Amino acid sequence: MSAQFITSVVTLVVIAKLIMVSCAYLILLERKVAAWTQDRIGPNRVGLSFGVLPIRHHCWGAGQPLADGIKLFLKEDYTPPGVDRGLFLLAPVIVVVPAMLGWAVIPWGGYLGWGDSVLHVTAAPIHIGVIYMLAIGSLAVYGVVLGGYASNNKYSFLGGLRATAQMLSYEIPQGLCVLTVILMHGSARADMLVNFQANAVWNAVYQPVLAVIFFTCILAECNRAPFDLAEAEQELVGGYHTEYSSMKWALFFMGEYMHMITGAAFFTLLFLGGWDLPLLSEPLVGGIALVLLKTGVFIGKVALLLFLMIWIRWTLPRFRFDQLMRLAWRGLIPITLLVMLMTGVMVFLQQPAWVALVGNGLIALLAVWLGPRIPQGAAINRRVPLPGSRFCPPKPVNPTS
Amino acid sequence: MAISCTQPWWSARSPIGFLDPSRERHYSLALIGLDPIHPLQHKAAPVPTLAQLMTADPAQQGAPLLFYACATLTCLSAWAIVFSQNIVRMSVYLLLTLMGAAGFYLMLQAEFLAAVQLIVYAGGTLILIVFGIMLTNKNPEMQLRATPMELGLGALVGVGLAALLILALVHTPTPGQGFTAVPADYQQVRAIGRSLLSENLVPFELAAVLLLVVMVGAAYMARRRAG
Amino acid sequence: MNLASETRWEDLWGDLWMVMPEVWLVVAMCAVVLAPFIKRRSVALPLGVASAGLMLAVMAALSSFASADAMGTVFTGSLVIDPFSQFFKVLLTLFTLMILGLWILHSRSQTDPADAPDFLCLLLGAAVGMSLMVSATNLLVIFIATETASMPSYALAGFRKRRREGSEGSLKYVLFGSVSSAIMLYGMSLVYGAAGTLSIYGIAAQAAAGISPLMAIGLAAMLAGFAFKLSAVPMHFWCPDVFQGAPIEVTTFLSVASKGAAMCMLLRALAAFAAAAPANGYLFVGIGVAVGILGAVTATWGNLVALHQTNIKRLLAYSSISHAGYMLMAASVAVIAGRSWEGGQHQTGAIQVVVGAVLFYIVVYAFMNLGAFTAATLLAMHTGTEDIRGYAGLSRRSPWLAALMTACLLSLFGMPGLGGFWGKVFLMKSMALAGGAGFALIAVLLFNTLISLYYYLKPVYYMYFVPDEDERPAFLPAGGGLAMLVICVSVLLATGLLPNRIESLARGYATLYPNPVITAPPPLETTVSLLESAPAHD
Repeated sequence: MSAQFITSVVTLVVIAKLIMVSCAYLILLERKVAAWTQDRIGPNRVGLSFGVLPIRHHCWGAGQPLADGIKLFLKEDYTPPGVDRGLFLLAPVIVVVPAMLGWAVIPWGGYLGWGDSVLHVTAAPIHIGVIYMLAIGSLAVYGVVLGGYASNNKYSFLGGLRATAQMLSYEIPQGLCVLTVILMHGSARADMLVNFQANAVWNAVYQPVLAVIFFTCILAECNRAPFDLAEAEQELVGGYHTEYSSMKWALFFMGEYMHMITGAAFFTLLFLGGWDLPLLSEPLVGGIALVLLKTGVFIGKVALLLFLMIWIRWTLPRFRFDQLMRLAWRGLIPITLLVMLMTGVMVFLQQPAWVALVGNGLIALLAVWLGPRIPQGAAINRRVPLPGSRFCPPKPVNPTS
Repeated sequence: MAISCTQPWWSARSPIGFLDPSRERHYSLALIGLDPIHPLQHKAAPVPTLAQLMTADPAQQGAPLLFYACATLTCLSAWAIVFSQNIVRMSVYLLLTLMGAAGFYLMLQAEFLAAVQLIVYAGGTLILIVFGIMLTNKNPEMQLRATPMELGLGALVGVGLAALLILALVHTPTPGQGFTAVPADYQQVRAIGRSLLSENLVPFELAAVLLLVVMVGAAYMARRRAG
Repeated sequence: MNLASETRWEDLWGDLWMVMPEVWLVVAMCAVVLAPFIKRRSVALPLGVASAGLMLAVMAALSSFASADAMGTVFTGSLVIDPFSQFFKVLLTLFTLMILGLWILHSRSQTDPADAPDFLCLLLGAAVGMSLMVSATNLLVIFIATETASMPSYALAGFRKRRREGSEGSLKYVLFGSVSSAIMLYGMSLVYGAAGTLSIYGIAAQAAAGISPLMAIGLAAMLAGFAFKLSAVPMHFWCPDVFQGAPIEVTTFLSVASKGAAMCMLLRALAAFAAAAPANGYLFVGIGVAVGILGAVTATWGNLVALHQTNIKRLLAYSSISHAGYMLMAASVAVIAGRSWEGGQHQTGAIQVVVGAVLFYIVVYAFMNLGAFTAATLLAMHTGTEDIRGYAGLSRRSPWLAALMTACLLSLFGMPGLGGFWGKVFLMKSMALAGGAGFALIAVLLFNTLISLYYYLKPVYYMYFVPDEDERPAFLPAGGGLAMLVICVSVLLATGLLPNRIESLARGYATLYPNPVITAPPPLETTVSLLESAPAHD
């Protein structure tokens, strides 16, 4: 067994366990932040004593996730009649698995010096790291689509359709952002991208527009508010997971949080310098203590981003669907293309990086200036006389024919 | 220790982001006299390809196992596409087939191709097909049934083609160039990019023209006539 | 192992000047799409832009004849610029200009001005694909160029969205086209796997060393793809429906430009194979025989089915199928006669004779088909019928139109004194190079010509010998259409009266870029299995 193999396995196991547990606490955090935003207290009843242990303090509701978990396990797992059973079972799995696969290439703790060799503190240090993340991310949409389809429910179906269109649309600017970062650094290796940022300055500083767009895309990719139209309860009951219950529903629920974590880690890796902190980046390769410190820095950044995501969810209202599409196709994609073009020209001319900042600023100004001036086209919510729609009721069938 | 810093357009630790990995160099570490161990320079830590990683040490048994796993996945799901009667299920099986093919690419150390296969086919084309089916089909649960005639004809053509291909494969000598190992430091993304912009520039650019024309045509076909 | 390429983009910059015809077409195509931003709902602006682009392309193609430097392979061998390709590009762009004329004549009044840029963009896009098809020497370029030519054609075939036949034809075209593309691509993958190279010259060299069964299957599948573009017989079902349903200018474009480009592409591939022919490769000759049989079947089938057509567009569709068959038969000779069977001597110039004959035929065929379709358009505009029974008494109602259309139809048949006759004569002359097999081909060609006489004369019979029972009034067709007809017929007369001059001209342009010297493949490296290739990890 090579040392790298052992490192990979250890990283994988530790990180996977850590994220699984933190998923549960992320839900608690979500409820807490929601409560703070709405000037409530939030869940604070379930402590850690569970009626058995001698802990008298309420522990700020720290036992809530465990109680939730037990509740979900004990709920009736109801499969409605008329569903496509295989796909109905498969869908929640497909939601969760791509999110977990994404953790494999994230360089959590930089490099571990072990004797003579340098080991990657990554489960799978592969060449195409960030492209792999994109590839895996593009599979997640199947869970939502198939869940919506298999449920045999119109609301679920609509939710699935919405989610498909949304995820496909936002994958494009996301991919373009990743390409721009690769273009800047000339490498698609996750660890190299972090190294470059550690040696210079984080990408978010030089490409703020790109960073904001990428963050938006992550929100859209994990169907978080303000992009949670696929499960908009006012319109679609529960969207694609209306018909799910018990642990299958819990998988959808956890999948969302896992996607958040994966997305936040992806963002940290691309734009926030990964494990880099200004004073910490000097020894590139270190012992276990340094690796743990760096992992802590990485996870801290991820946690901050997660908090930001939750904050956004409880602050911003939901988009309307046509606004959502317009944002992607008329806003994000052209802007990202412009940034990419600018970066390409810069790299070709070997310009210093501050030019990128200037370019980003100019592009942002251009977008702000041009945005209101682009003709909006026809009204979206006009009547569509499709046969069979409520604007064009079906003709009465001739009984003789 | 000695690290030459020829710096054409940026200086060490200056806030410059654009680096060329072929000109790897170290910054303040060299200045303060620490011996930097950089993963790109350190000979003991090449980044393995995924295939190497999976087949690396555990008894060197991984590769055949992986191959048979991918082959089974691809073949079984391909069969399932043919025999399934539900069009959405077919697309799921097609997804599995594509993933199996991506697995083959991984085993051939063509990681980039594998990722692109997933991005373009699984994440893009196939999901658009599913989307199209769901949007256009009045009843997505439509059952596709072949008549016995069609089944017979299809089976005949399929078996004939398979026989022909197997015969051909048996009688075809090994191709001229043998398979060669990919060097450990081979940067495939870079090589593919270079090839697309040099030897294969014409197909690459022509594909752009093709996409533009197709887009215009599709937009025309989809356009509802005003008024 | 040379995995990384050494070509730099600076080296490719100069090559751009050698593909200026395509560059102008692409520029015009993009400009046409952007034209509505300058002036909404204008037809004149995009039309002017498209015509300007086409004219610039014509000039660029013509100017490449001026110096010998402008010929050769470009873009690291993906494309080849030689007199053959440039000649076809001139022909193609001129022909597309005439199609624009036909469109103004026939469809402009029926087209929403907002749709004009789309039509022109699609037409120019198809032209880009066709002109690159002729230059392609690389399987990848062949495939993408073919798709670039096909995809817009699908949309063009259904451009009249309101017409039921148009939509039906377009749908059939798309389905057949995508299936045949898939077959072709599959064949290409097999060929690539067997030969290890994408260049047709490299493949020809490998095939000369011995065609493996895998490569044979691959080549056959590729031939199926070509057959679709040529509407050769097993893949011809789309042709009549598309031709009938599409607007007539699109039909003309597809029947001539699309087939011509596919023919030229096939010729280039066959010539590459012929030039690489080994001393005794009977399997190799099999490629030629396969193409020849395909051509013979296509010609015969097309003619037999054409016999009982009453719609002029369907009749001309089957006629175009049979003409593709004639050209295929001649093209097969390039491989069969590339080497003589007895002496082991390479028949110098055989390829050039064949290519010259086919090129001459394409020129003549372009004009006679354009003429026939223009006449049919004019008739349809004035009589409102595409049925040949509606042509009754035309000789009295519009004698000029009747005469000109008769000339075109007779040229399609091969009447002496008109270009079509000499086209067939030169085809037969080149077939004679192939010895016994060639005489069989000549016999098939003569037999088919006899059959075709019946259906080419049928409209003529109605025009001249059947009195008009409805007593419809006389009419004078539109001046522009008549002018185009006159141009076509005068070209036919010129080729008919001065065949030798024009044939030698065509043969001069039939100079193909010679097969580059293929260096011997590198010595067989020991096959390294995946396990061995994975270096020990640390």
